[in-house]
Amino acid sequence: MKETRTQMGRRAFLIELLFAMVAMGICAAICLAGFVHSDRLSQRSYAQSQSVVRVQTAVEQFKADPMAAGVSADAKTLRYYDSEWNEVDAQVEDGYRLELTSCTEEQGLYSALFCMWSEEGAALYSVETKKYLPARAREAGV
Amino acid sequence: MSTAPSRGIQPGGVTILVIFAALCLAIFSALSMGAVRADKRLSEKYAAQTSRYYAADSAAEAWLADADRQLAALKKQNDEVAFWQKTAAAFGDAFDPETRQLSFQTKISDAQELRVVVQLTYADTPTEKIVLWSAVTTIDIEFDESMTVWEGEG
Repeated sequence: MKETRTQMGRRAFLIELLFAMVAMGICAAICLAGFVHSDRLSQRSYAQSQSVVRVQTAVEQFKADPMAAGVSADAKTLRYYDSEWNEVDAQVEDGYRLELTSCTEEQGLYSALFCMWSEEGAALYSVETKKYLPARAREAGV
Repeated sequence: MSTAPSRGIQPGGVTILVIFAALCLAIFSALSMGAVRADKRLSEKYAAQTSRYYAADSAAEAWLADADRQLAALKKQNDEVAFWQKTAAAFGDAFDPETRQLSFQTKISDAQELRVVVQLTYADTPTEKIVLWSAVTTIDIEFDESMTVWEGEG
């Protein structure tokens, strides 16, 4: 009789363990999906912050010397970055690209559009800026 | 023959452990999600504020270009006395005849504006000097430092 109760207890324990493992698995799967989603969102917001900083730097460099950018309606790539936001020489996998989309000039007022692109072709951040250079400054090449 | 009492995990113990582990996972998952969402909101606000600043900055540059062209035209046509009179007439409230400064302001956000002040001088060659180009806070910021804690009354 005692042996039968022990066996029943073992069986109950095994069933409980089985249910616990299944429940734990489901819970872990749900939470893991949450963690993965959090990680993706975190990477996206980090990329956006970095894009703003890099574009801002490019804008300030443009404002310091707008003539150096070169007036052109054609887009040109200024810099490439890898996935860790280190500057590299060419486009790399999961990297980013800073582009001067257009640069125009009208009576000394330079307008430029800067854009940061991801490798997949998504625009992460873009900003348009203007800089006025009086004729005397343009002649002096300042 | 007596049997020794079982010392292993009793039935129910595993369930309690699983409930505890699940709770831990759920709490950490929620905390991580909350922190990430806050980060995302912050980076979106930063991007929006930067865009607003450069929009205001571009407006100020366009104003400066327009003002420079007007001043150059006025200088070509007038002597010094007439130049100052016509500058005052052309720019209205934006020109201060006493300090001979031109000012421009444009809104960046509800709490900030971009202020530009240009010092004018009359000389053979036009000389305008930017004396101020700055984002200034336009409202009094009052931080809510109150704490809604029970103080032992009511």
